[in-house]
Amino acid sequence: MSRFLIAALAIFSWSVVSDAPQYLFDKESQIAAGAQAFAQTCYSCHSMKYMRTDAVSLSGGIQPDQAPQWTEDSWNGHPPPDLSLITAAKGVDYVYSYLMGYYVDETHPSGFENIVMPGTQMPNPFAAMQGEQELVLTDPEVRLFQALKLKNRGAKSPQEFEDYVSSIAVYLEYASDPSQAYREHIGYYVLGFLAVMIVIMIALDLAYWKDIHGDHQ
Amino acid sequence: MSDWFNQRMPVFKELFDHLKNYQAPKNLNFWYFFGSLALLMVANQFITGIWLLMYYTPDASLAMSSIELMMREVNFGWLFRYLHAAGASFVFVVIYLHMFRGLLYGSYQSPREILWWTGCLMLVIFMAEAYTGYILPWGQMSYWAARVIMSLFKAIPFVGDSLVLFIQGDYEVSEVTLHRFFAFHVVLVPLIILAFVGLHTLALHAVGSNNPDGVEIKDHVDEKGKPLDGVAFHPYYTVKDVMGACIFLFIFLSVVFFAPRGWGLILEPENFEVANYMVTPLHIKPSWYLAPYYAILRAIPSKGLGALAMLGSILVFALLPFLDRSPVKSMRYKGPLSRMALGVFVVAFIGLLCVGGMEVSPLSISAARICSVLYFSYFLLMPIYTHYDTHKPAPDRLT
Repeated sequence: MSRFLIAALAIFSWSVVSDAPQYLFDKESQIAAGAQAFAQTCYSCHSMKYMRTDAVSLSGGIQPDQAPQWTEDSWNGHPPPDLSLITAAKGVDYVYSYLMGYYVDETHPSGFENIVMPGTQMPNPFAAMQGEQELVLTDPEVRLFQALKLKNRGAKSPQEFEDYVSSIAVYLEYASDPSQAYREHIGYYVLGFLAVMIVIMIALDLAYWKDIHGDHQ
Repeated sequence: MSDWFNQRMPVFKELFDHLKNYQAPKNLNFWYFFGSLALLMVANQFITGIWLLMYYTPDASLAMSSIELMMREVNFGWLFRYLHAAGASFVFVVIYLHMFRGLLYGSYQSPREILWWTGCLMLVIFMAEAYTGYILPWGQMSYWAARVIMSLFKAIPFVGDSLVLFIQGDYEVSEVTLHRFFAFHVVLVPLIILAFVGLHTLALHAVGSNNPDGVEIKDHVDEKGKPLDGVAFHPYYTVKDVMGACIFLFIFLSVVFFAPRGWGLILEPENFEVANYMVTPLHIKPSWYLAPYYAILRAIPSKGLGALAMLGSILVFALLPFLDRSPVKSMRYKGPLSRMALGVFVVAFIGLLCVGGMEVSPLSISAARICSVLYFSYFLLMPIYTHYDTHKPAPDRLT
């Protein structure tokens, strides 16, 4: 409970959460890259149960038959959650900042602490990829990138790593509502049709009401 | 062919004759769209609700996944879900504007008291429908909001505890409650809504529409008994209402297609996590349309009195026909006191709406108390300020 409170304080009263970067390149290829990255890094522990028939997820390697299974009492009663709806629940900025927010802390059992969710049980999945970050400022008013500094580089350059993490965030955003692209596509036609209907109906209304308005006085 | 049918079953003939013969005042403005729009939204909720019902499973372990899988794997499943969820919010947008129209033009005054009361009851019934529907996705906020509201019923003296047990079917909100609320939401309450839509329309057709001038068109009729200032509902107002519906649908569908979560007002972030009775959300808040009453509840330190004030804030609308002592109906001819009072009421209502969704803090509680006092003074001081107000004389006929 207390851990939950601390995490919640981190969300609501600290502003360490940074905005996820805007989509740098074609969104569809970024979603596909994110699905692959998810399958590679996250899918060993986190399921993606609502995307069981999604073509992008399947071709990225998120196969339902390989979904991780956890008993309820594993991980001290907090098994790794399903991530299908995580950005809907927490926001994409939160997820992005969380993934970018690990820093070295020897007092933590896994050796890493997270600035966005202090006391998180999840071990840093990116230690080899990102390198090690250290906490340089503890001022609660500063944002993620001011508070954390890269101590030694990992296998990926900072830019490569940021692209990797943001592709995961974009994929998770997609997974929370895969209808978005098609929805907005047909949304323009629906609103276009209604706009034409509004014009026609206003003209029809004026035509019908002409004789009434005539003897209105 | 149509004659053959009408001689044996005159349902369409009666309906059309009724629409053609129903005389509506010819000066109705855009505020009068919201009645037909409410009907449109109720129809939307019924139709999309039936489709959701084909895939939804009222079971604690399956409720959310049945919805989420429907949105992903059923053709246009997402559309039905978003139309229904956003539709619920828009039902209340439309109803609140519809009621404001009533306050503005005195539609509750004689001879429309029963028409107004059926509407007031419908507000309560729609709240019950929204509340029972909100629990069905079985998310965190579904569960915890249900617990908060159920705990209010416990404040009822003597019967509170047994009533809560009877409604929720368990000692705490549980899967049994989910099954019950499912039954209420898809069968019981919709049947009551249908009945009241019928009663509301019947009462309307008996007394006729009020209008922005608040004068009775039936007082001046020609030799055939047709009101001089009336026009046939069909085609004049059917055309106008379809126009209004198109404009409204443009706004409604903009939200459905481009912002279906309504910035956290239609689908709250917390409700994307499955209900967990071990973890209380930090901030339990009602849907925005119930927030004003929730703010009144929280403004009063005693839970029993708070629940009473909350109930009173909804039921007090029904007293309006007795509270208003104005000799005129419409705000066009009412004096400055009445106008100010209505303005203050609108500010108080919006203030309560905002405060009800906020976390408890000394500031939000003070704001809620001030707004609650203003909210109730609009009603309870009405006999006084309408009595001493300087009203203008209402015209004889429509202007």
